Amino acid sequence: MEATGWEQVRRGGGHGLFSGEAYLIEKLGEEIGGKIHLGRSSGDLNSVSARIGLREKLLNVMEAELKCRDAYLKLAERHLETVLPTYTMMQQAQIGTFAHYLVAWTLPLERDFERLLGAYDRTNVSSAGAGIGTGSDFPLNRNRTAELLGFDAVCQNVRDANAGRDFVLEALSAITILMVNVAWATDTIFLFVPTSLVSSRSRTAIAVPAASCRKRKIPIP
Amino acid sequence: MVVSETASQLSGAMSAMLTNARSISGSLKAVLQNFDATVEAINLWAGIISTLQVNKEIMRQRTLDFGPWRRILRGPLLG
Repeated sequence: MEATGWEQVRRGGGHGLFSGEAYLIEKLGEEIGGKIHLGRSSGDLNSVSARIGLREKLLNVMEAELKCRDAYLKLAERHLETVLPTYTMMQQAQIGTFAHYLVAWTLPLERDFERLLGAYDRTNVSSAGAGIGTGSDFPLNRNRTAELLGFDAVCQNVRDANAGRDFVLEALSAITILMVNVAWATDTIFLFVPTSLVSSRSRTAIAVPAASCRKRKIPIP
Repeated sequence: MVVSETASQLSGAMSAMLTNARSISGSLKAVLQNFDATVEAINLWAGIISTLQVNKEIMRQRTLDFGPWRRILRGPLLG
């Protein structure tokens, strides 16, 4: 199975979530192959795989987000006294420092990180053993399963564990807010580029899509 | 633009999730791809910020150009 490739074998089995089981029964017989899903219903597979997949993605986002905050703060340290005209409604309004802008963009990212961390805490809870929402007759040790799968806790209610999906929505809303906050900074820098307040070392880093072709980018010097 | 496009894409993904929030078994891959797009966009933006060239002299000059102009306007506007 490993030599052929897990995904290919499962796809070829044509039994959806239970393709692995069907394959093993075919190769090893009912007595051995039939036990692979013991205490692991399709409901378990769905909810556990969603939580494992999502927690990894959340960690990736948090790592990238920290790098962005670090980049803002390092740049801010160098521009504590770099004065510039500030803008409101695309017009010069008052006078400020570039560091003040950068810190203003950093603080929402701190709040974003807290939101992501909260989403991670509620994602990294094991639903294994919940079955299809009524648990299992088998004497499963849900705490031990959670530990082996790297979860911090166990879902307290098996029906909630099986069918609750708010953790996905929470994570999705956290990254949506995060990107809105990042877009605030990109909009402002975008305003600074044509007025030569800033420029990029890369000719293609700051670019706009061509009006006639979405794939083509026009670099702004 | 990658950042703005990703923000828009996420708003769409949120709407889709809200419409059918509990049915993720068939759409989980698409949901998780939004997180990959987010990482890509933030990494790109962090790279731009890290390599940004800040033209301090132009900023200072624009501030000097703007300062007196603001003082001139203050009288008529507040007058």
